[in-house]
Parts: sequence; structure tokens; C-alpha cells
Amino acid sequence: MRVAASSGIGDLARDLARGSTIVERKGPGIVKRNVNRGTKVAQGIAKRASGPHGKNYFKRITGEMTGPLEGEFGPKAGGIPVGAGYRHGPPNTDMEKALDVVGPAFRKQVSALVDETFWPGGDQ
Amino acid sequence: MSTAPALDERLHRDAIKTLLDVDHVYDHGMVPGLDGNPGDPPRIHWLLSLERRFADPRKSGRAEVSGWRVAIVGVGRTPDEARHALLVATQAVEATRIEVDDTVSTPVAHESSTAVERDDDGWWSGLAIFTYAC
Repeated sequence: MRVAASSGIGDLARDLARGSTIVERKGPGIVKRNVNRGTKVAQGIAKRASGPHGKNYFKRITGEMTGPLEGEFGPKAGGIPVGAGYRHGPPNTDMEKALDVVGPAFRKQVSALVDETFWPGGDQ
Repeated sequence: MSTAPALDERLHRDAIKTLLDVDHVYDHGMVPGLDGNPGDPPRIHWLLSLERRFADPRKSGRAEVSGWRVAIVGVGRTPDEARHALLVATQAVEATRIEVDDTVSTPVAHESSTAVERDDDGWWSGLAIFTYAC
């Protein structure tokens, strides 16, 4: 009994062609889920970290898709800037902290998606 | 069970102050001549704050390495002085390794920064945030 496996350049071409459709189909959902999660996490951090002056600051943190495979979350521009370059207190790092939480999961989901383009239904 | 080495924030703070190698690095609210402190305020100075980056709380296990986030505010009397302060800070820390508790960190990487802005007392300040693992 033996197992023979062979693949040629045609298989690779087929995989690459199919890969792009998988990314187009599943990519936006992954980005959107992570943008939404990032918004929620950042709002939670802002709520907990804010003093009496910034109680409603978390409402300014919003997220949206800026392209098919591209999204952003963060405080809306305008109004009084919170914790930017001011020397009065330690800077606001809500966004960086939120990215600490969301970043690794997002990265994992994206690499699973790339894996899937070559090994459909394979390890995720 | 051991925890990650080099967890003392003060050691990291000292290491970064040494790296900056300038006389006027302060903690927030500790600048002489400002915030009600005695003395004369230095025209150009730096404010340092440091935090440990958190990992996803849903994961358990023990960490050998922790991530750190350094925020340096460069302060000056004019926009150019504040920009100069940020440039000096960036040149001092970026891509260098920090040694804490016999552990050598990964090279310090830039994470984010903000433009120089004016505060209510007429000082200009900008922010640069760096991160490393140690």
C-alpha cells in the first residue's frame, strides 16, 4: 500500500486564485469583528480610567470600516483633546491598551485565514 | 511557580532615565517651578511615565517576558523646543536594548506619537510612546 501525492505549478496557481476569493469573502468579517471588539475594549478602558472630567469621553470612541479589508477605531476628532501631548498628567494610552488586547487575536485570525487559502478546512 | 523577571517598574524607569542621559527627566507633577514645586522650571525637559502592557486576561499560564510601554513627553517653551526634546528622546531610546535585573530587553520600538501642542500655561509639549519586551 502506498500513498502518492503530487502537485504542480497548476495546483499552486489554482490555490492562489481561490485564495483571493476566500480572503475577499471572509476577510471583511474578521476585520469588522475585531474593530467592533476594539471599540468595546477601548470604551471599557476609557470608562474605567476616566476621572470626573472625562466621564463621557468613552462615547467619543467609535469604530468603522474604512475599506473592504480595513477598519479603524478611536476617539472622534474635535472637542477637547484628552491626554494628548499635555504635560499635566500621564498620557492617555487607552488606544494602545485596547490594541494589546485585540491585536494578538486579530493576528491569529488573519494567519488562520491565510492558512485556509492553501489548506481549505485545515487547522484553524 | 516563578513569575516573569524584571518586574520592578522603578528599575525600568531608572534604566530609561540613564538611557536618556539628560539632566531634566521628571515624573509627572515633579518638575521644579511647575505644579506648585519650588525652584525654577527648566526650559526644556522630559516627563516619563511607564506601564506594563497587559496580556489578554482570558489566557492563563505564567509569563517569562512582559511587555512595557514608555511614554515620554517632551516639553519646551516653544514648539521647536518641544520637537527638539522629542527628537533627543527618540534618538536616545529607539532601537536600543534595556538591561534590567540581568535581563536584556528587545530593541525599543516606536509605538505612537502625537504632535506638539500648547498647554494653558504657555508650554509646548508632544508625546512619543515606545514599547519593548523584557
